[in-house]
Amino acid sequence: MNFQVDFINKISLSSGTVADFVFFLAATVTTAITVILFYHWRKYTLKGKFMATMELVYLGVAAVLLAVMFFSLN
Amino acid sequence: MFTLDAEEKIIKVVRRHFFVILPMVLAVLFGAFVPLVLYRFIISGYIPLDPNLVNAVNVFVSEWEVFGYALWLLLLWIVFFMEWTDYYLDLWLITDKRIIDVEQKGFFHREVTSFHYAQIQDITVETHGPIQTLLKFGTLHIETAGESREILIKNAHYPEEARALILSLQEKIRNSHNSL
Repeated sequence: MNFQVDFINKISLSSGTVADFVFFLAATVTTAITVILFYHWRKYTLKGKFMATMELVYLGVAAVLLAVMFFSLN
Repeated sequence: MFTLDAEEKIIKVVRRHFFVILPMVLAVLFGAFVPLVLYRFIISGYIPLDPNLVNAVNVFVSEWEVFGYALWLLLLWIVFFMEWTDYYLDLWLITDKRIIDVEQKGFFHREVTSFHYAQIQDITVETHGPIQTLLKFGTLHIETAGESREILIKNAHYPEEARALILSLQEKIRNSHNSL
C-alpha cells in the first residue's frame, strides 16, 4: 500500500488564501519585532548618525523584502 | 536607560569586539545561500533521488520561488538585527565620575551597574591567543571594594586603552580629593 500526502500541492501560491495568510503573518511578525527593536534602539542607545543609518538600512531592506513578497502574490 | 548625573560627561564607550559576532554574521550570509545551493544540488542529479521528490521540489520552487526566498531573507534579516542589538546594547560607559556597566541579556533582561573610581582596587587585562592579540581585544577585570563579584567585560575592544584611561581618571579624581 502506498500512502503519500500531497502536501506540496496543498501549499500553493495559486491558492490565494495560504499565500495571503503567510504574507500577513510575516508582515505582522516583522512589524512587532521592528517595534521592539526600535524601542530598544531609541531608549537604550546613544543617539547619532550611526544609529540613524542603521534604522534606515533595517527599515529599507525589510520594506523592500515585504514589497517583493507582496508583489509576488498571485 | 542609565541616567547621567548633572555635568557628568561620557569619555569613552567600551564594547565587545566585532569579531565576537562575526560567526553570527557569517552564519546569516551562509544561510542566505543555503536554499539556492540546496535546490541546485537536488536538481543536479549528483545523488540519485526519487523523481517524484525532485518533481515536487520543482513544483514547490516554481510557485514559491520569489515569495519564499524573500520570506527567508526577511527572517535572516530580522535575526541578524536581533543579535546585533544584543551585541550593541552590551557596553561599558566610562564617564568622568564613574563606570557604568550595561549588560543586555536578550530583549527583556537588562542589568545596569555603576561604580565610582574610588571603589576600584585593581584592573587586569587578559588577552589570549593570536586572534585577540592581533585584533586587540580581551577581557577586562575590575576588582572593586565592597563588591562581592568581580566586574568584567569579555572581549572588550582595546582593553589596554580602557585600563589606562580608567587608571588615569582614578588618579585624577584621587588628586582632586587630596587637594581639597
